Amino acid sequence: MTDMEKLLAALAEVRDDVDFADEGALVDDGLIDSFDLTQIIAALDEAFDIHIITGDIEPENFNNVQSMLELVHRYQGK
Amino acid sequence: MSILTVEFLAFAACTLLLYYLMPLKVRWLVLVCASAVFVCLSGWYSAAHLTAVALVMWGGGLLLQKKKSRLLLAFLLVLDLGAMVFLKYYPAFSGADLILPLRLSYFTFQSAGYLIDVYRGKAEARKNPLEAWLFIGYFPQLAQGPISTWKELGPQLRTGHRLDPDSFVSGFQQLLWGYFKKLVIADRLASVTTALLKGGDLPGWFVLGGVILYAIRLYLDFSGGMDVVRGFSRMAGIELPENFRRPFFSQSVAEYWRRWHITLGAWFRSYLLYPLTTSKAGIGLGKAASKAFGKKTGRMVPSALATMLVFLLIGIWHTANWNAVVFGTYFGIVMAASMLLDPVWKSMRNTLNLPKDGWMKPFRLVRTWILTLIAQYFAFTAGPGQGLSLMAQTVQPWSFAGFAEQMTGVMELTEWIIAAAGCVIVLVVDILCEKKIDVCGGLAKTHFWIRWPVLLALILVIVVFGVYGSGYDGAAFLYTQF
Repeated sequence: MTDMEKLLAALAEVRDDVDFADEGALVDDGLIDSFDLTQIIAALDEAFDIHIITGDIEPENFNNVQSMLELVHRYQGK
Repeated sequence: MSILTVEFLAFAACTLLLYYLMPLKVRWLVLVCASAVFVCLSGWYSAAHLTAVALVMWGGGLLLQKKKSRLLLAFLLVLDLGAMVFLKYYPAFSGADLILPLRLSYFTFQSAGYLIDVYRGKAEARKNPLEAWLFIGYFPQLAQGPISTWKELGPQLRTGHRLDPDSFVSGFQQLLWGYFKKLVIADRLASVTTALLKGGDLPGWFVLGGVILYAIRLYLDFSGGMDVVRGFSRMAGIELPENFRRPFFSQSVAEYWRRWHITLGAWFRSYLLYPLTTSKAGIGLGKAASKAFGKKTGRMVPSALATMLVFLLIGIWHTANWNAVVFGTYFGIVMAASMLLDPVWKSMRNTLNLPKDGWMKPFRLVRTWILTLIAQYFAFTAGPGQGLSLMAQTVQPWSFAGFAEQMTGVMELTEWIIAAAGCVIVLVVDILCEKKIDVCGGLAKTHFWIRWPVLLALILVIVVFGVYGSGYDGAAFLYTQF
């Protein structure tokens, strides 16, 4: 399983009604709200064993799956 | 100095004139001087407290930038927020009579946000104390809000802006629109709230109508004031963050709170909700709850608990009384319940094969109205007892006998007609904005001979139909005391 597949699976656990793979402005367009974000952070914590700090909860890090994956890789030191 | 007074308008006009007469480099100092005069006119106590908070913020910011210490941040926040908590809540317990600095809760939150942002590396600490002072003392913001972050406001204040005719006219339009909402409609509706608070044997329809009108008045009052200060700021080239985005069109209570007092919600989200829910303890709690309730619901538990705390604090932030506790707890429970029960709603929707849009949209709109109106019973009454008693009156069998007398007992028919016409105008503009038709932007771009007659007519309406009396500066803005 690639990291992207792992990420999409984790996101689907939080919201199965959002097309994460194809959306580019998840936060800015209001497709996910602050509560979804907190769930996503918990899901990423579990899937990738990383702890995202509050300062990184910014729309630009969660607007699309590419940005989220970059954030995950930054925490993993990749 | 209230923004409703002629003195404020003259003061704002002089500030703008001086601002644009000065060289670009020193224009921000005009704002510093104007804000210093404004805050001093609000009382020496306000000026002293604001300056003390600015100094803590300035020095603390520099120290935090030098050494990222969590202990130091905690100390600074206790100092900053502690002073506010003491001044705001000590009198409620002790009965002492303390003078509250103007907009204490606003500038305290803004300075606390700055310190946290510097700690998080989101803002660069300012070396010049005047820049830090202006960030929390900028006078239009001190008059009405919102709560800005450094990133949103700080750099804009420090930059000298050139006169841009489009922004200037657009700002002027917004300023007039704000005065229209406040003086022509909101202040007129104040007599409805007075009639409700008088009590007595009021019919159910009157109480419900009165509470609905209170909600509308609160929106027009607060968002009108915001329009005035955002409009003035835009005339000076400064864009203050949006604080209201037509909340009454919300499809859920969560959406309502994303559109109502947006900057307060953003502050609590960024500086309390996220740190609580995404801390190691928050994530750990979610994992433990997942074992008991399943992954989906379990992960929501920390968010639900943090939301309840946030709304309780939002309630108490408004004022220190039991009504605020009821208001905050109620919204916290509604939000947490809607979050935790979301899977249940979803399966119910699927089972009943309910559409996502169609008639469900007005249904959700009405549901949101009902849920938010329940809270309004505790927003303007003297205590939870009076709120509950008005609720009981609402659900009693309705009798429309004496309808006309009841209505004209509040205000004359012409006053009702003016208020209703004003509400219709705001509703039409809001509906157009909801449909992404930019009425204000459109007007600003129209031909001179269309734009200015419309604006002059608006000025005339404000002057003629605004609620004034001898020596009267309008009902004080409902939010000024916070």
